[in-house]
Amino acid sequence: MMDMDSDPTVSHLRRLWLYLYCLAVAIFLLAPILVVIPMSFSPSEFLEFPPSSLSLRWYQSLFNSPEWTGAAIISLKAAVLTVLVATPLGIAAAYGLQYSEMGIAKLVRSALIIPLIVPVIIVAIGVFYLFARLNLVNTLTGLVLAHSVLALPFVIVVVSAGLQRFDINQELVARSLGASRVKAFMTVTLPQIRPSVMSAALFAFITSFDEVVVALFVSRGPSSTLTRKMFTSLRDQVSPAIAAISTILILTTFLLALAALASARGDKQQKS
Amino acid sequence: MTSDKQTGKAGVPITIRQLVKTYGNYRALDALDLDIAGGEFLTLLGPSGSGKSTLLMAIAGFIRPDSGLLQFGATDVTRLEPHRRNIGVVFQNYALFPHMTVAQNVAYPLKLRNADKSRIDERVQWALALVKLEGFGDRSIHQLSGGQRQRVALARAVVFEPSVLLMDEPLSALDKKLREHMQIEIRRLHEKLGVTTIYVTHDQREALTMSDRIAVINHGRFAQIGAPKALYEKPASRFVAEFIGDATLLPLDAGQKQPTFRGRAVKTKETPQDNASYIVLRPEKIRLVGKEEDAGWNCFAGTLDDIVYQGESVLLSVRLEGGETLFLRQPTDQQSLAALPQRNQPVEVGLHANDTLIVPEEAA
Ligand SMILES: Nc1ncnc2c1ncn2[C@@H]1O[C@H](COP(=O)(O)OP(=O)(O)OP(=O)(O)O)[C@@H](O)[C@H]1O
Ligand SMILES: [Mg+2]
Repeated sequence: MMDMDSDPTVSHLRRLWLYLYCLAVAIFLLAPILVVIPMSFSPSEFLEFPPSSLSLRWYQSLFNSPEWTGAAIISLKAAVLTVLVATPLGIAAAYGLQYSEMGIAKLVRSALIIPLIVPVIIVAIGVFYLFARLNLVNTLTGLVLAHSVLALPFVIVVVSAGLQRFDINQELVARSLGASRVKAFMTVTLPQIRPSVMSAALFAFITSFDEVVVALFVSRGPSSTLTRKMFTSLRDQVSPAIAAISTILILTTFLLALAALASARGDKQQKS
Repeated sequence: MTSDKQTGKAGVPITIRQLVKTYGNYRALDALDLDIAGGEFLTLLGPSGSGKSTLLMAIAGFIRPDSGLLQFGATDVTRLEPHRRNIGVVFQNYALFPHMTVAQNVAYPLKLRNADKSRIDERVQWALALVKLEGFGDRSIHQLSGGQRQRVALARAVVFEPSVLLMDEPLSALDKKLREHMQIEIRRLHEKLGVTTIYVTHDQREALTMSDRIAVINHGRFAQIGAPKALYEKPASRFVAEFIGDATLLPLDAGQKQPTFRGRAVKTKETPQDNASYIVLRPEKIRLVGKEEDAGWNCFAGTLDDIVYQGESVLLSVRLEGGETLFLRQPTDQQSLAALPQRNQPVEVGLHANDTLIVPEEAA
């Protein structure tokens, strides 16, 4: 019954070029990121690859610098708050848009997705002038608001995709069984779109944590975010401290993504 | 809540007055009036798009009517939110909660009512036993067959003793055998619980089998409301006669005082209404007759067009002289089969005066 084509040894050999191609793409994508990691362990004043010897000198100096740790804390605060603002708002918007019977819903959806399409620099300039009037420049509130604007489209897109697979009749049944609208959403809908909500929250976190353009405009001096500080310090000197920060950022993001994957897998296993 | 429900209690009566729901210019519910007795099993029957689901969803509270009145007992519920109406709803696709086990699904309405744990366990056991799913409590929804899911949905809808049970085509996703079995199960469950039940289907046979009364709905209006037998034997209009059961309708001659068909008087048991305009011929009410024209029969001459063997009966199609086609059923015992005429032979079809129905185009 077995077909020659499905014999694994033959096909693997035949597909060798494909594997090589994938490897090349992976190297192309990952090399610039990975090359930073060894450089961060260099003891020298300058970036060098490969490092002549290994040391934790730059990590030490980072953790001992109140400027850098302060910036890191601001970045974390902004990212967490952005998650807390953008995720519920985005879920509510996605839900409303999904089940709205009004014709205007499509238009509203496009409007909410716009920050994804418009160059960030334009959003940044707009936000800067608006915040200048509202006295929000250089405040955490302002930064979180601006980042939430950028994160919202991601949340809406991801949660909408999750809702598409959800059967709204379940919510109707829950309501008939005695649940208020909110209760029905919390006990029936939300648990089932949980994987989407998790990835949406992750997107929101990374959107804020990675963001530099808006931060350049609205977070200055003591309220600088980590990325902004990296950007400005790169202008003065290129020290392995930057590589050390990058390594930490890479690790954080990687762990977050891993956590999101694990939770999504957990949900799947629970279902089957 | 009392656990001894074997005897059943009377469900609440439902009153619907002048209920209107429009979508744009279309009247999905066109000023409906309906009284449902407490504990009655009423079926909404109608073609696709006739407004069955719309009416059901309005009763459930998911659709807000433009105007009109809806009462459960003496309580006006027209504007009441769904979760305060104490209704059980079963959908066609079951709408079970896949992130909960069978028992958790059934316990859901009880948890919302803050019942204590032992009470919940007891009720869940009771409801699962009611739908013959004892021991399935720990299963996940994914491990159930379609019929079993349907039962869980039923158990969940009745476990909290709702005053009204609403079902929207709950069996249409099941195969024919299982569907017929579940029809009987649902009927049995209804008798046990005595809950006022509104059941939606577009399967006329299902409606005839299960209901105390059937409300035939078409274009957002009731075409006729009555007991299954009354609807079948005394349809009020051409639409009902054609929709319930199989029937060929022959138009009566226009402008005659007495009903005539192609110049021949049509004999009936009762004097027909003035606006009566069609004779209803059902396959099981007509038969092949000899040339001798009995006084009690209305006869139609034609040619035997086709004979289709269907197992429990043979279906004959007869083309009348005017070109209309009649269908009639014959039993499949050897004697009847042997007596069947050949194809393309002239035959005479008889309809007894007692079985002769004459209906108007529109109900009066
Ligand atoms: N949300 C809506 N917007 C516009 N028209 C609607 C809406 N819901 C229903 N309708 C219309 O109202 C009419 C009645 O619909 P309904 O769903 O009640 O039909 P139904 O009798 O349940 O049909 P089916 O047997 O196909 O389920 C249909 O013509 C339908 O197109
Ligand atoms: Mg329907």
